[in-house]
Amino acid sequence: MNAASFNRQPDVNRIVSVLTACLLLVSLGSIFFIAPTEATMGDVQRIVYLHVAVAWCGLVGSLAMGCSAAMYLVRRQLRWDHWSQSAGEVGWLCATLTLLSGSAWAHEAWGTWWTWEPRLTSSLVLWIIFASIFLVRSSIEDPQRRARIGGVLAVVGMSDIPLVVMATRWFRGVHPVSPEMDPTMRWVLLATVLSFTLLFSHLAVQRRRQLELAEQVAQLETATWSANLSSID
Amino acid sequence: MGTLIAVYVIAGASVGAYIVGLLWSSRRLAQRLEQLQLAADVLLACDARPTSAA
Repeated sequence: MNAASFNRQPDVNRIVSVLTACLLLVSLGSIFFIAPTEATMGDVQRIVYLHVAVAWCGLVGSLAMGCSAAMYLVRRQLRWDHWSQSAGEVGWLCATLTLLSGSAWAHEAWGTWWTWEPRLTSSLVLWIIFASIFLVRSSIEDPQRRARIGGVLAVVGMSDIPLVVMATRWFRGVHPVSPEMDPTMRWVLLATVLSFTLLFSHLAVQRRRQLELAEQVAQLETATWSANLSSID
Repeated sequence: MGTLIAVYVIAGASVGAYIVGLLWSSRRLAQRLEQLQLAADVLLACDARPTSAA
């Protein structure tokens, strides 16, 4: 990265941040003021817009984590591990929100907070897999070793993603599959998914940059200590 | 309606907490980088100091 492009980055970040905030406000406004109230469930149905958007971002984040981890295992470059970690963190946050919002919706729609239904169970399994990857990663000091072990676990963990996506088609359950929607509702849902995708992608990019900077600081610390020791000698 | 508001508030608070955490740790990193630059300057100054004649 040259100096000119480095100096240009804060401006780009600011523009993307403002754009994301505007899109989020528009989509939130659409959810509460433009989308029609659903006849059966009433206002509580508006949880679906958030639920679908974070579920999508969670799956994309998990997929990006696994693919970046695979790239690290092939190339052995730490930048892929940074991508993997940042995408995984954001994906895990979204997966947590998916489970919470889904549970709240289920309470209103099915009368229970949780049921061991295929889509819900596979989503919980994915959440647990990625939570355990972060636990394992946090216990390893050496960056290359952490990236290698975390990478293998992320690639293995990715095998649950098809199960989450196809659970409603492969197994019998109570989770809705592409329900019929009013065209306005569909547009609001699309806008919400787009704005959340932009928000979480932006967060992942920022986190990746931060991880890269932390790596550089760690290298500088080592170099400063070595220089310090040699000057004492 | 209460459930709906609670869900959106929890989601907003979670994302907000992540953003605050990101900003806070970035600030700490920037401070550490500044300290390292100071240390490097001191080391360079030590190296550049003329050694006194024995």
